[in-house]
Amino acid sequence: MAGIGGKVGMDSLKRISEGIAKYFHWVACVGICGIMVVTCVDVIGRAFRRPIFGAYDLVCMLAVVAFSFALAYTQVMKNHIGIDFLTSGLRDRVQGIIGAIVYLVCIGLLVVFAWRSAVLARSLWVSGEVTMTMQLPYHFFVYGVGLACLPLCLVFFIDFLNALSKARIIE
Amino acid sequence: MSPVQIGIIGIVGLIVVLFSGMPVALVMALAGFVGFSFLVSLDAALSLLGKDIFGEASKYSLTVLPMFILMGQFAFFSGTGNRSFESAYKFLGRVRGGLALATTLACAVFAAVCGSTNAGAAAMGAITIPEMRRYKYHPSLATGCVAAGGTLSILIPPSTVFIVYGILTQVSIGKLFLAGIVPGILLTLLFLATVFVICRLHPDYGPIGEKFSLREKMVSLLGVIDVVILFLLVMGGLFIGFFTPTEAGAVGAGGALVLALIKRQITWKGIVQSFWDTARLSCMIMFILVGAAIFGHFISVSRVPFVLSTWISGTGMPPAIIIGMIIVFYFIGGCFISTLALIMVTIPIFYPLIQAINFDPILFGVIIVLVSEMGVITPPVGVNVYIIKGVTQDIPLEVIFRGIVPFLIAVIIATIIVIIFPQIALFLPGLLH
Repeated sequence: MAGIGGKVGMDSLKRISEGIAKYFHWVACVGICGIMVVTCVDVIGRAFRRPIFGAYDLVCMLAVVAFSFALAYTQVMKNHIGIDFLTSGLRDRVQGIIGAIVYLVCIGLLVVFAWRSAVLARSLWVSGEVTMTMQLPYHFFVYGVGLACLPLCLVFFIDFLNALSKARIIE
Repeated sequence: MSPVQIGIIGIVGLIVVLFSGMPVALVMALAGFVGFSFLVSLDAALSLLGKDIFGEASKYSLTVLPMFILMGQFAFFSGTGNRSFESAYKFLGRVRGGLALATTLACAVFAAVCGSTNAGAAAMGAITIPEMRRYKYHPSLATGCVAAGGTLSILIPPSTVFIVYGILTQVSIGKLFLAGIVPGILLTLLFLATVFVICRLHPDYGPIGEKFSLREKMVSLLGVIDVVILFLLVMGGLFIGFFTPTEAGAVGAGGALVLALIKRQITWKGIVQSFWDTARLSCMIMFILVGAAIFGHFISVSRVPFVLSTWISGTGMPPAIIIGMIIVFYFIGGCFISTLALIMVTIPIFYPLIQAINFDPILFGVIIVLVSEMGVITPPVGVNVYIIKGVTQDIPLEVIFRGIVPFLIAVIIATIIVIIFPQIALFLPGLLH
């Protein structure tokens, strides 16, 4: 349908989505590193009766960052476990059609995740809810989860286009 | 339609969509969301999605997962697997099948700092298979012992499967880790016995290797001393109650990094790659846990687990038969579905049943791990076999699967022994208060 122009556009889109996913993944790595450092310092500090104030809160929020910001790149690497041994035996065209439907549903779900996270974040912001000891505002991190769902949507969109191409619906 | 009927339709729908190739996490979230909408309301289901993704990701108990994965990654990139193998080989090289015995032993040592079967198989496969082939080991023995040995990583603590099981069932992760130690040693011994028997039956499968002096043997032990230190630090801290599991994981990861830096065994690239891979692997598991939480809410509202456990208890079936049936289910399911995904999908349904028949949840966890070990080495979805295939491109899959069979029998024997003598698994956690 789209020819060479479409292929170039698709490659650019793929590069952009992978680039964004990688930037987000760096943030996730900082989250992982943060959990390790905060916990180790807290344990060592506790041995000297100087634990980190609010280490628990900090670790929980860093875990949110580590998880949500890694979502997109994990899909770029096709690491989100799926069971495809039945569909992989089908003809390419059928595989493409099934894949396109699957990725469309995934995009839909991710959009709902992002939307509901934004709604939850808004309500937490309005009610002014914060973590117990460090008083970190929850809404900041919930917005982060919603934001992190968007690059995953983009990666799924690329997978959707690839599936359509496999089904020979687009070229 | 009754809630139970909707619950059953939801489970059937989940199984159907599961095989479409859609990520397991999203299949579970979708089934949970649709089912919850039917049983409660669309508004409630929508708010469940927002709450569960944040609620699960911010659970302190979940942070144990990335920490132990990170510890394994640091061990991987600092060459712990290599040093374990070298040391084991210096002690066992002179015996027939010595390299295969050394490989099995090295897998067990590496398992003490790594909780992922994939990482165990990948780390040890890349090191040991080329060595075994150089010494003219039979390909089926060379690949079979590594694929099977890699599974020790999920039985000998730390273990990702124990962590996931503990998170899903609220069973103490510390107790689960301790419960895995003796069965892990038992299975290692059975794997060693398997190699020994294979080499007795087919002497050409494992030729005799080099001889090393006592001094060389002792020096090689220095290479694995950090594994011993880390294992004692992590397990000791958990055992005496100084650490929570997350703290144990973080101290293990931090300790592994510091030791590797002091001994100059890890590069900057290795450190970055460790964080990079940990974020990816943790996210993969945590996303399924988010899906499992949404699905779990739907399943509880449907009352399917309650009805199932009441019905099965009412039949008067002996608990041993029920456990046997569950094991067979996991064994068959594990052949087709990734074991971690299978556990996360089925535990919300089976666990209430386990509680209803008063079966020890820690023992059940150990059995689940043993059955998971079978799943990762059986066709068609034996992940470890494909990892080994990736390392040794020229060895056909059939040869690897054939090599696995004797080790699979060893895992089955270990499972039977643990079921007959549960104290093997329950003795150590019994000491923890």
